[in-house]
Amino acid sequence: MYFNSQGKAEVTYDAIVVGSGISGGWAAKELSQKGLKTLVLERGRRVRHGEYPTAGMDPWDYESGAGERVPQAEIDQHYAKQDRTGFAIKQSNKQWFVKDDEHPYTEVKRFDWIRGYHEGGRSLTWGRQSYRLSDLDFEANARDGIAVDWPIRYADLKPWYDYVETFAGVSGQAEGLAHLPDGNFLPPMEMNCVEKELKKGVAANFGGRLVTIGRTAHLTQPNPAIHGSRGKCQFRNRCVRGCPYGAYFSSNASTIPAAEASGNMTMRPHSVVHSIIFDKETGKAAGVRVIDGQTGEQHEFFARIVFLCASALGSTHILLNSQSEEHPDGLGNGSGQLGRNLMDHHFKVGANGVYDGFHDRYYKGRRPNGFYIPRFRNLGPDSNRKDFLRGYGYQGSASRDNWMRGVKEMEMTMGADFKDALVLPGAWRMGMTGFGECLPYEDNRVYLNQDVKDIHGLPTLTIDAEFKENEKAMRKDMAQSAAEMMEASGFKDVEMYDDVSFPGLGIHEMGTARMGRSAKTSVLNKWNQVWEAPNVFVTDGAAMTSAACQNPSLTYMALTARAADYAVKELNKMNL
Amino acid sequence: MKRREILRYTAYFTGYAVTAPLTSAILSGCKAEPAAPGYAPVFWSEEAFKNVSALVDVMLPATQTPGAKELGVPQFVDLVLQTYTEDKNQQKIRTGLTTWTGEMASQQGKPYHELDPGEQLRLLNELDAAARAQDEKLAGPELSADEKEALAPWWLLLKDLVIGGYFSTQKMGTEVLAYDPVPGVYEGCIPLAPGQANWSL
Repeated sequence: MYFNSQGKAEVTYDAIVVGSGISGGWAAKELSQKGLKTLVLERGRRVRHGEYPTAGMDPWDYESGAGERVPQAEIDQHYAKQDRTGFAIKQSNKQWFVKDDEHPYTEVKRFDWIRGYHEGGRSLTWGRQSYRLSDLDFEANARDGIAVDWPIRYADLKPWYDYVETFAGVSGQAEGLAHLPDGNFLPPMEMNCVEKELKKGVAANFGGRLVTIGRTAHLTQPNPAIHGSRGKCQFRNRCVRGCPYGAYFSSNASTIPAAEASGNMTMRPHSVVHSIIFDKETGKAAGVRVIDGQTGEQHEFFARIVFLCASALGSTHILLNSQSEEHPDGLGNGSGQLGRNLMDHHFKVGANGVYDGFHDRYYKGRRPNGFYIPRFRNLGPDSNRKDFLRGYGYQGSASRDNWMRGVKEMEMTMGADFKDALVLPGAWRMGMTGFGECLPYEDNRVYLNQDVKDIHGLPTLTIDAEFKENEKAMRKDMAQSAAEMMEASGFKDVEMYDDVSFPGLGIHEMGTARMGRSAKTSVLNKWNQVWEAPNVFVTDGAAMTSAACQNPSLTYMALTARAADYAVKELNKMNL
Repeated sequence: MKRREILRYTAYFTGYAVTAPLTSAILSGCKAEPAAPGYAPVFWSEEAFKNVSALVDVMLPATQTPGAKELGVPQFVDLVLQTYTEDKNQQKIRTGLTTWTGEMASQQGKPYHELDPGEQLRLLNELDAAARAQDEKLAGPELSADEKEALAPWWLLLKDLVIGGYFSTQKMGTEVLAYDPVPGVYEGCIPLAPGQANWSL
């Protein structure tokens, strides 16, 4: 492939950031605020904060007359895989998800790869749940003799969790748990009456278990000095469409405007990174090769450091495609670990039930959050299990049934009274799902597929991953424990469920370029530097050495800010 | 000004809370469009559409609030089944409805839609009871969500569309149910006023 270079000065920056999602946004902010001329390469279109066309639309506002539904023919043609989520492909938010026919991948086993190719990436559509990892997680691989040890511990990341939480704004309740450390929280959201009953029931019947409100990246009390013009959460629960108030953390509302304000950032949309240019004289990256997504033109950009923040599989794809004489199997693949140890959280297993009480109570507002039950398995001798390693947390919520209970749940014949009854709120119902840790397995992996190309002519990925025996054993406990807690707390009609979870659908792809202590067994060192090209940093989900069971985005933010700080210090010392 | 333009305006230009009462007052000016007369069905045959319209009308009739038929729910169901439904469910619902109304017609000696409304409702409630009993057998952890969906009785799929369609009309959503597009707060445990309707969103 021939790449056309412009005058080298015009295409040379201090830093290149690939991707503008959760991690890329942070890299852009940190590097540009520290004075580096920073080029952000975003493969999709620009989305400026506020450009959320469906944010205020009600179900009856859609011209089709069919609400948020998308025609089945359009789903079949463009969104067959993205639609596996059940929530992504609606008129209100399909603009934030890729067309599968333009960006194909190959599944050896079912893998739901859910993506958004536009400025802000999946920071616009993320679940916003924000939890710290702890030494229970960072020490897990070493303790269990699995995969490789994390090269960092909680103490390494703690100041960076503090730092990113403050800027992002995370609401939550401090609980003093060693294995789920508290953060710098904004005021917590409220639990409703029935959720509080569960909290009481669990506290009374299960020593060591706790129900708390979800820790979520929403401004419940904005501080203009920190959060700028971002507003307070309005409890509309239309977050996935983009929030015109900027109340939840996204790159678009938060880090990208901060980077722009530094005067040092250039955002280049429609810039699909082909590969990293490796300079064998220096043993470092010289820059990146880019295909313009609109014109097909090929460009080269140069910089002293490169931050790969293209998502776990996106960053790994670029490294695999960065083939040179020195690195025939991809840059950073000397260990053979690049593309391996793919992880995701498994979920869609738990219980639901009805609470017979609080008939005279209701709520106001659509809280974009639920309760959280932190991990309580395998914390130590009192909670260790023989049937599986690691653990899980639960997320759930309670609400009153609405008119849809008329389909199945109501013992009433149809007609006038039925119709009028459906106008009123029904019983309180609660549901919860576990989110379980998946172990890193070498044979859960991705590799380049030269036979299938995307719309830019790039090779695509083949994904070969599955949940295995440890995850399956854990799921049995996830269903049973959920039901036990609800029954002990006075819920009726408690039903366990396991709706089967395929990797990918948690949208927490992790691993494939893991951090480690040795170049022989890992792709990245403790500062997220590629062992084989130390001026290349990978700070997204690819870096994860193990998955823990917490939602991971906050950890990517902290890793990114920490790596950016280190990179700039090393640059200043002329070490990079 | 259209409601969504109002919301966009306030949201984008203030960046902060629009107080809920103000918003509701502005928004209540927008009314539902009446259903077009002389509708030609696209999914159903003319005969089947008459049957669907009849069952929708007895299932959710006009009371002190409008009925589902006058809010255009039969047309909504026809549109969604034609354009927004997977093949397998299209077939299941088409075959189910046609078979059932065929049986009712031979039993009663005239088409379902020509029966007395009381009789239409009685037959529909029998169908409903049988479908729910069948569906109850699917409950429990033995079957996955996909399997449950595949085995779900056709009537409950259609019933879901009718109820969902009715309560997401603009009329119901803004005038009968409690409409609060920008709540501004979450209060998790407040007294339920007598007659308080469900939140519409």
